[in-house]
Amino acid sequence: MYDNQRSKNRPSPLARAVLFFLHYCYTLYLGISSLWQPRKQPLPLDAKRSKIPKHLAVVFAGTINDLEKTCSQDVQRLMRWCEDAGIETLSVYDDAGVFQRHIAAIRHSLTHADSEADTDSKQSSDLEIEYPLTPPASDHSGSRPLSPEGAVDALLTREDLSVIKVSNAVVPKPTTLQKSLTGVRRRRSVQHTMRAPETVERSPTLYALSRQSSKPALVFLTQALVRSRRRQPATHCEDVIEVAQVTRVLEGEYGFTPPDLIIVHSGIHDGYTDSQLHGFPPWQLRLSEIHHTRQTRHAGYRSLEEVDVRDAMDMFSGAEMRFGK
Amino acid sequence: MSDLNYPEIAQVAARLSIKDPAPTHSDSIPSWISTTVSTWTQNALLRVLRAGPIPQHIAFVMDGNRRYARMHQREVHEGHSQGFVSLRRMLEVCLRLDVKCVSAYAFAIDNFKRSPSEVDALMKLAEEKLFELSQHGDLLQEYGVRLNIIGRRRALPPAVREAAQKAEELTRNNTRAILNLCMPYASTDEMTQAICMTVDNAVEEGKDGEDIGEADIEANLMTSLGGSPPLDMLVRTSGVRRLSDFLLWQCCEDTQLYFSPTYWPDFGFWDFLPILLQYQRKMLHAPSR
Repeated sequence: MYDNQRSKNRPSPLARAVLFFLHYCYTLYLGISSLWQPRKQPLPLDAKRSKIPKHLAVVFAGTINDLEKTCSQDVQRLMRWCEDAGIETLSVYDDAGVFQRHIAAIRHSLTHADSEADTDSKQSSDLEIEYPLTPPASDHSGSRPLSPEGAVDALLTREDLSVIKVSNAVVPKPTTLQKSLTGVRRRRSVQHTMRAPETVERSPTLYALSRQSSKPALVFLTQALVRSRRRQPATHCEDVIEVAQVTRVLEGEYGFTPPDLIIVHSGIHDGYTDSQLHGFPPWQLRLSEIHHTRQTRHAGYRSLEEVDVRDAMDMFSGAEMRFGK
Repeated sequence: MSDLNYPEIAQVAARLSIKDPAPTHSDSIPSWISTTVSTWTQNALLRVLRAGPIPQHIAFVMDGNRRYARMHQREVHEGHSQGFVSLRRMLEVCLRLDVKCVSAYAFAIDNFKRSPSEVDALMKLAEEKLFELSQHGDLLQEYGVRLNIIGRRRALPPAVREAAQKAEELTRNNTRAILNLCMPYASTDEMTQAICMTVDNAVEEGKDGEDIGEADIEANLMTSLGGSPPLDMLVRTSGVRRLSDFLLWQCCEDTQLYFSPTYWPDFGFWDFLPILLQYQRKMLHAPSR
């Protein structure tokens, strides 16, 4: 496709030396400027902000070993922060699928944490996991006919989309008096309790995502459409599927909704800021605010901290959203 | 990037053009000297930067034209015109760096929601500039750049569609680099079209559904059909930290994302320099994760 100019234009030793010097100066500049500009303290989680994300996604880009050690604790803490901040949905993503593999342990840690926190109020937590179970052959999307109306929605199973959902079943809410006395929950929860004491409380819905929930989900949809087309050869693909329908498949019952805010956390201090998305599902990325956590001088893997979430929420709160208008 | 600290100089000297402008009568001698020195420095730096890793494919989300116009008390369409000047400037920087492909988000499908007068002005500008860009002696011909219009072109007014087709034809035989002008574009629309083409091709070729993989969908994306290499770097200006439905499939893996606070019409070499240095540092030294 292209003429290969590069081999003709080999850089001279002088150019390389000057480039080395330039990088040296730039590194020096970054070092000095980071000392010069002290980090601004972000607002507390439950501070009043102009906008709060409904759905927060966190991309964990650490190594598999690091994530395996910390995934349960990370989710437990994130769920607590989300609850404090009023975030309704939390997604955790890692490309290797560590969170999905450890979902039972995560669920256990969440249930355990909840029951500990609510001992005084005798509240029991009942987290339900919706696994992408392997369906029987007859239930697979491939065997379903493609009817003209809305059939695309039914083409894929939870297994195809590889999304694990942990949702809170109805949990009896403690009385206002119990809440006030125990003081377990923070301000937001208490305010909510006082407004509607008879209602039930739900913790944030949790989605565990992996690389399989990303481009492979679109591949499964394509495969399912090919099988359907074979049964109805007269139809043209563009007549059957359009953007809204793909959205319904990927973000419907078996998929997950697009996050408002994505935090990318690498947790490794190597001096080079992570600025990638690590394979996060592309379809749901379209309007998300993206925040990469800062690197701090830290030996080994650094877990996500509350200050990272507060930083991201401050950024989200200040974002201007016009959506094309 | 949140911690990408821009030198003060970048904010001050962002309006420089690549070519050494001819001095006019209104230019004072000191300003002419400073412009000449700065241009010379810039050209020397471009040669030096080429000694390090250079992204093969860079995408720009050209954001901030309207805010730039408001800031300078000008009409919105003037902001868009300045945005086009900035595109030319950055395209030339990229071509001098030997970047093989530049993608620019010129008009989103959602931008049709804007006021009819603004949409009309943008379409008129597109028609005029498409013709201008592809003329003999202009940037695309000078650097051997092939122009691809990426997006749902059926939604364009007939005059713009015709101009786009002519511009593509005029640059079809250029092989040194590619300019993808995305208009009217949405990545979700591109992915849906790629899925449809993959399905149609599979049925025609008698393939089983199970034979289809990510590579098949990727090969049917409009950027791939236009011959674009994988996306290495995406830059969004004006401080907004979203992708806004732009090249989502292409940039969700290991593309380096950079968010610059500068409005697009002001964006120039000095804003791009720290971004490129950051990219080179990453490519040269960071361990792969």
